[in-house]
Amino acid sequence: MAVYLSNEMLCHIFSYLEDDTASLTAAALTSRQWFDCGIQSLWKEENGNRLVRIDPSRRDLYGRCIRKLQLDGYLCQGGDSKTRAQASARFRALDAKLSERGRLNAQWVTFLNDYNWSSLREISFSKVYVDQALLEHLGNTCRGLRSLRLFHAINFQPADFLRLLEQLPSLTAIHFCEGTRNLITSEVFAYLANRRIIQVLTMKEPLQRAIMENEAATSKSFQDLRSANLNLVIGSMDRFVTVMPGITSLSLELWWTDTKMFKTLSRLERLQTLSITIAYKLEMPPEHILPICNIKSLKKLCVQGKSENLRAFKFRDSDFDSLVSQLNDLEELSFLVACDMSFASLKSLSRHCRFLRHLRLLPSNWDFDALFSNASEEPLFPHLESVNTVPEWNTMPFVDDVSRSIIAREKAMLFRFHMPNLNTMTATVHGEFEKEVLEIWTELKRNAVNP
Amino acid sequence: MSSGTPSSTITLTSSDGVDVTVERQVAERSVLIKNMLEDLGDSGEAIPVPNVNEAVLKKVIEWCTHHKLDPPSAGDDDDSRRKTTDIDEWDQKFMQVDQEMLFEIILAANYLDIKALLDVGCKTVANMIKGKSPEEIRKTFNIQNDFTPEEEDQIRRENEWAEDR
Repeated sequence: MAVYLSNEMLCHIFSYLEDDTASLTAAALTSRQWFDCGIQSLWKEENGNRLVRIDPSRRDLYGRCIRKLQLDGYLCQGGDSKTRAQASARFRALDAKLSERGRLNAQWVTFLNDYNWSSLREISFSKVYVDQALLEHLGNTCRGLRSLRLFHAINFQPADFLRLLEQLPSLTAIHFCEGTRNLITSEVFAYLANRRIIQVLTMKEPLQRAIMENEAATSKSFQDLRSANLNLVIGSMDRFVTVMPGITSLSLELWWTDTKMFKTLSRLERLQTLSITIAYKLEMPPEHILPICNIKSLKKLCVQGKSENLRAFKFRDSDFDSLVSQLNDLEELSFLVACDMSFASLKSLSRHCRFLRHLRLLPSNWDFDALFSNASEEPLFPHLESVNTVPEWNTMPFVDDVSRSIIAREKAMLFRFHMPNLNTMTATVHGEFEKEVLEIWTELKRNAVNP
Repeated sequence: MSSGTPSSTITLTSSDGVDVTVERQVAERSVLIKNMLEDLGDSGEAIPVPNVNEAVLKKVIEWCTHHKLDPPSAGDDDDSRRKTTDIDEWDQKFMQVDQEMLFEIILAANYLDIKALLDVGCKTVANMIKGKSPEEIRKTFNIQNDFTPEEEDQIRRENEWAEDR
């Protein structure tokens, strides 16, 4: 081969063949270099079945390729014969409950702690028994683990679980699925609450139900939770607001909406950060979301449609004015939904949110030029530090170079007057021009030239 | 916000010393060049592209010209998502080149940081691997088999599950 592809390029190429394991395996058999790269894709995800046949001397090699380990369905490690018998009985009971009769019996293995799990990013334990030795081994080797999902991990005790959590510095997501309610103790939640890096806390419906049914056992612990990422089931908002009154940061991905939901949410008096992502195909009438204007503690608000769903909202200027009218402490606003609004909305923002520091918008909604030409005697955004507009494709107006620099100068003066603290302005498509505006503006500031 | 992008042209110098003039917007498909222009400003001087020869550079520019109005690719680092090997028709035709040129385009796209072109190149190679036996792949890409028969056997055994699927 005259032209040599690096390992990095080969791995990239093979990533396109992850669905086609036959071709990928053939590629891995061609040469040593292709093998080294091919197994990165072939062994990226593993459910345990292949691990048993690897010779102990090669387990390190393969183990290091595995990013996602899903021990799913009865692959269990360790335990003496009595423990195993007990665990098996519990699995059988579980099977009966989940109507999965006829599946394989639990397979008891010993090799899981031969592997080096240093590349693991995600673990999913589903119906497993894992002994102390494996938990310790995981804690010692999974330094890069980001996500942990538990489903009927029958022998997990809160104390073991806490010890494991303490050994996983990179963990940012915990998914409690069915069969984990024994882990919902006040210690565990207090730990999670204190551990700021936990970004994702997922609770599945039955668990939510358990929490709802068992108020006395859980309400205290939730008092400490500060940040949650919830995929709520219909009707559970009310309960969550009751058991998490102290929450300051909440991220919701919505697949449904009703008139009550945000009214309920507005009872969270300490909420400072709220991120709402409107899922694909959901339409959100303005009146549904408007009650969040009552959460006066809000400092950061992000409302966005998923990329396919930028038109999830039917907001107009008057709706936007109602939304921000009472959010007087707002410091950051990301409003990434396409709406029929004019510069009047910017004016509302300037009037009501005097402490705004960061603004992220779709450019189509926000006409700064029109705003400035209607400007007042006072700076419009005295504390604004950054403006970020994400581009709307192919709508760039053409401006020739000479008029550009004139516009840039005028624009810079206006920006400087109305946003005296601005230091960052980014826009992917308009970038060059905005940069020029900012440069002239900086220059003006340096020379203390008054506009 | 109303503004325009610069409509000026810039000059790139290939590894074999040939100057190629190109619309700035086209050249900025390359994140490397875009950043360079942003950091250093457009001095009007030619920008050297030391890793890419004239033939390859022209090919890369052809691709960037065709795709100059595409939205910038979103930061798509989610490696849990399955990737497709579908390639649009124009790109497929564009990639009908000899293998050396194909690899050169991939390396250039990687060096110049043009993610979408790198992806198309890698998909093209992936499609050339699809459905072939190890021997056929070696032949296609002129790969020397450096395994002993025993090693090859062992790897076959270790990866059987994948092969059966």
